Amino acid sequence: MLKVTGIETWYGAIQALKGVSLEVKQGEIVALLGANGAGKSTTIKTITGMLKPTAGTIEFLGRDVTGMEVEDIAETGIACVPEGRRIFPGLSVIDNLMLGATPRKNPSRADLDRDLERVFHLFPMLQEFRDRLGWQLSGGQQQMLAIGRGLMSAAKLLLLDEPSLGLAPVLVQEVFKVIKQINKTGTTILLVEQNARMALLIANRGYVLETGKMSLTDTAANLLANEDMKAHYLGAHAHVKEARQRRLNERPSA
Amino acid sequence: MDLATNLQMVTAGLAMGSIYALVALGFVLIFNAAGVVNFAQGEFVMVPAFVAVWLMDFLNIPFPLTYLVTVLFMGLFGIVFQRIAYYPLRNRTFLPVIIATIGVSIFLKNAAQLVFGAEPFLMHRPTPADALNLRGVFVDPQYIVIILCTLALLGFQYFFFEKTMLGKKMQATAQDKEMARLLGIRVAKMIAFTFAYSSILGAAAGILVGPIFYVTKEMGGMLGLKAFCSTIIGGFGNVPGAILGGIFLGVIEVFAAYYISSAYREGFAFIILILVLLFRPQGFFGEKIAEKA
Amino acid sequence: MNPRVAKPLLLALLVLAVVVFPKVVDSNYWLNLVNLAISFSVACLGLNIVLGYAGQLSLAQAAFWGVGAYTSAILTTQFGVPVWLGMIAAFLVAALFGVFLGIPTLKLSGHYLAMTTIGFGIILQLILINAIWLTKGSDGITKIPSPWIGPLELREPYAFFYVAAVSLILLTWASIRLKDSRVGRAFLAVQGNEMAAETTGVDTTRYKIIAFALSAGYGGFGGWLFAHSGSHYISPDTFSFEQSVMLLAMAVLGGNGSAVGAIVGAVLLTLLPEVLRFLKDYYMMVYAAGIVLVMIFMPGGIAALVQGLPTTQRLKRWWHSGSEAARQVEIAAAHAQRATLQPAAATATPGGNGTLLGVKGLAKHFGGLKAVDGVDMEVRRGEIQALIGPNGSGKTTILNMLSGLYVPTAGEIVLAGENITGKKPHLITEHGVARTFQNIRLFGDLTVLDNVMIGQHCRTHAGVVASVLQSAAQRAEEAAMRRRALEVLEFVGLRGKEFAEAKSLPYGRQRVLELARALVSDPKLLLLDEPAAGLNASETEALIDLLFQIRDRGITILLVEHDMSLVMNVSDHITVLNFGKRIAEGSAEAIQKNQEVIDAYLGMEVANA
Repeated sequence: MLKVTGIETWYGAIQALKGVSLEVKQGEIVALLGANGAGKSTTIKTITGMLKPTAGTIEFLGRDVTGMEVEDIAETGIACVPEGRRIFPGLSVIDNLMLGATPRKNPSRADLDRDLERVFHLFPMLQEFRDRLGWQLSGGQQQMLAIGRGLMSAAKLLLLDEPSLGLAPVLVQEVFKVIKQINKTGTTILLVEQNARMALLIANRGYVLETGKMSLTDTAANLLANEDMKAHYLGAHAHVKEARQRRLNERPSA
Repeated sequence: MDLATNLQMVTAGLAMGSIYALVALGFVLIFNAAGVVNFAQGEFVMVPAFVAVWLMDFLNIPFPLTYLVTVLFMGLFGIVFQRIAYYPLRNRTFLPVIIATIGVSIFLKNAAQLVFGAEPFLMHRPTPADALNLRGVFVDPQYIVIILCTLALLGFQYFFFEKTMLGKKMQATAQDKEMARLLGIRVAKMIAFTFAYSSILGAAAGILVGPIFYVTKEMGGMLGLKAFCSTIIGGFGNVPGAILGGIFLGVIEVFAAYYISSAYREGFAFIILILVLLFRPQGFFGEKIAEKA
Repeated sequence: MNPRVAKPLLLALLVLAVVVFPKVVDSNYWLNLVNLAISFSVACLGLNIVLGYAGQLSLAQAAFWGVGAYTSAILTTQFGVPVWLGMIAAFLVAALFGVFLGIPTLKLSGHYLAMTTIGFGIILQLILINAIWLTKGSDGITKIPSPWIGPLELREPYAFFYVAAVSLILLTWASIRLKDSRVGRAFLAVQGNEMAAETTGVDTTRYKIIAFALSAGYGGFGGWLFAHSGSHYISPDTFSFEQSVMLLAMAVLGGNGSAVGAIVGAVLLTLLPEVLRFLKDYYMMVYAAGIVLVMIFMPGGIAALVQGLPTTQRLKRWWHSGSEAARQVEIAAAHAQRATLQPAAATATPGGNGTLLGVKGLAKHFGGLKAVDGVDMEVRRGEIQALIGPNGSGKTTILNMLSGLYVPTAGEIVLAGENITGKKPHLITEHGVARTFQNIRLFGDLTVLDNVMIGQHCRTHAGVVASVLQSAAQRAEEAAMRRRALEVLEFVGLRGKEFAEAKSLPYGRQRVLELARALVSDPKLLLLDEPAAGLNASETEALIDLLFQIRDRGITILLVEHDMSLVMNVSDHITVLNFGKRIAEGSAEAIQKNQEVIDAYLGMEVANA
């Protein structure tokens, strides 16, 4: 469904992505993992068009969408729930949700109502708060709203950028349960997450980014069992240990 | 210092305050949507006033049609304005934009002088010139019209922004431009609409205030600056704040001019501005904005 | 030709031009116009200081111009004060008003600042109109006397021209001197990046006020020139907001930041109406349209245009080769000294391994959000400690509190026995803390050398007067600053790039430059915020080497970092944060085995997911 090949993206003067490739097949949940600064969010921003790559291609449903404008990419059927939720603080829950349907081409009233019902079914608390303004919601509620808003676009591919950020563990559990449910009803998902373990528990496959390059990819189950993952996250690679030992030997006293 | 005089002043203050509120509102909408401080906002009032005068005096067009044409003209004006003064500079820092809008302001003022000469005009009143006597309180009927029309406009605005999809999209653009784009909202169009709407607010202000002020090329200058003061007093970037700030300023001005000093009438807005900036810089309704390290 | 020989020659030419000018331009009309242009030029030079150097938008310059004009007019007409004293009074009183404007506007910037200055200007004009007992109100003040030199009354336009021209030359010379001095660099730092200026040791509050005072003073002087020449008449109408806008347009047209540019802009816009007389009614519209076009196509003004030309570049290089800075750089290169980086005596830390930084119960709440929730930490003298933790754990917030950018909600920070909790950043820098930023905050438009020299601001003293007069002591101080800056640049490996624009350096080198700027202030403690962000593998290796060298010279380092291989390689001690609290601390090995840390980074496995 989504094919990203050899993407290079610059963030000001830094090359954030140095040739990133990944694939998301229909119906999958794919996790995009990596330490901070590895380039996960930059990858999402490149796919949605917020950043334009200097090299590489992005193909969605057979169409080349590289370099297209953000609004146009949204209309192709890619929805994004960005980092930090970014719900509209001055608009109500129901307004936020209805705005999520903007990229759809001439949806009927009935379709919209039905999708709204679906969202309320997934997030009953949103129905209760339908007239509350965005800023009045708690972090967890905002996350639910942001995901609901993403669903209202009837998108084929949903990009989730760090949905668990800043949430208490219990809410994290809720969010991931919902993500799994959404996937079961047919939405393909690309999930960027800091919480690698939780993400891999619900994903089919995973990619690990390290300083702008793909360093590991495998099925979720294999990644979970992989001791090397710890090394990627905590700098416990063998070569780092060697370098440290070498330095300690070179210096007269620390 | 009797009640009647005070009530007269309150009415006058509310009327002027309504005008300030309309201009301040136009100002804040542009700032929220485009991030631009429009130093030509006062001219958004001056231009339609001249257009209306021209239609009424030179072409003898009756009131309702004049008003309609003026409003439509300003809508178009807003779109052209943003294409010239905002669009080429939309990615620059604030200084070039401020200077560019000041440049447009000067251009418009002098264009008005070129076309209409330096003599002030008096716009024909839709209301009778005699003051109404409401139980001893003498009120210029135009004041009443101003207050009522402003209320109607605000009501319309509330309806438009809160109840229509387009209004919601414009709000979304003002609150989070990037997110709006991610949802497929055509942000460039929303910004153009905002400029058009803001100009229409200016048209309303110009039409309403024209009959009681002289219509001159300078009429917009002070109005614009005081409207800016209103937004800061109410809380920069805050829509209800701008409206309340404007009304507050209008009323305070009248009373201060009467009780304190009429010579410094034009200065009170700025004195209050400086006081607010000193003691409550976020205004009465605004939010503090801090820079992230 | 050697530029050092050229300088006095140029001066002689200038003097000649001034003497000869009124003979060449024989008409009173044009001489009056030139005098007016000079008066505006001086006001624009002032605007150039507050806006071009310090980056503060002031739309009240015409008001200060007016204050100067009125101060001198009143003193000379009503109190018989000699005109030359009136000149000094004009400058000082206007400067005082500048301070009045500067103080309330300190926390403002951009639009708020602009609005306040407009308001200030309008209120001043209203006072001029209404304080009739003092200013004669709208009638204005007539018959303003001319200055006398001995028996000569300088009444004729050509005579006054000499006064005006000499003043202009002296004031321009002062402006140019000011720019290339400790004070000028402080101004440019405030404009370049105010936050970085504060943490580098510049008292931004003080310098903003100084900038306003100086610019108002210049404005006042320009007003004096205006009052005592031409029609010898002033009225409040002249000193309006529109006039301030005109002055701003002149400064921006000439090129913000260039003293000569300010003069060019002022002269052009004063003389242009004459030249474009045929446009009579259309003149203002053309002028306004011109402003808009200049903003769109030439935002740097004429100065930027001229400076872009290759001829100008060559001339600049030639002229600059005669400067002190260039000479010192040459000498340093010739000796090719291996850097010593000795800490200066004042801040040399005594030996021993005590606690350098003690943090107790530190907390920062943003409304309901507890970014940092009661953290205790200790950094031992001479160690490299890393502060790590997942996104949002509070690391940068702690760094900001340590460097003074945030005031802690609770808790205590003690550095080498001194309580520095909640102090302003530039004071903390004076105490011996220096920092770098996550998203590099260099003064991009300044040279590499200037960036590093600003780092020494809090260890040096030269003020405005010293900077303009350039006494022997001031020049010695500048030379010492340069020597030290060159030492540090050699140490970090930026030799040869001294005069390059900071923003032109490749990313990795910019990071190193920021480090150099932090090192030059002789810090006891160096705070580094993600120093390896954006660096490639070899640059990271070089950084690690540099960090060890810095540590070996007695400077303690606390770094926040995400690159775990760097952290594990370099740290003597690691503190781990999560959700604003400290969850672990210890050596690299201990941390890597700590289950809580592993959970924090890889994520908690929540049951039934």
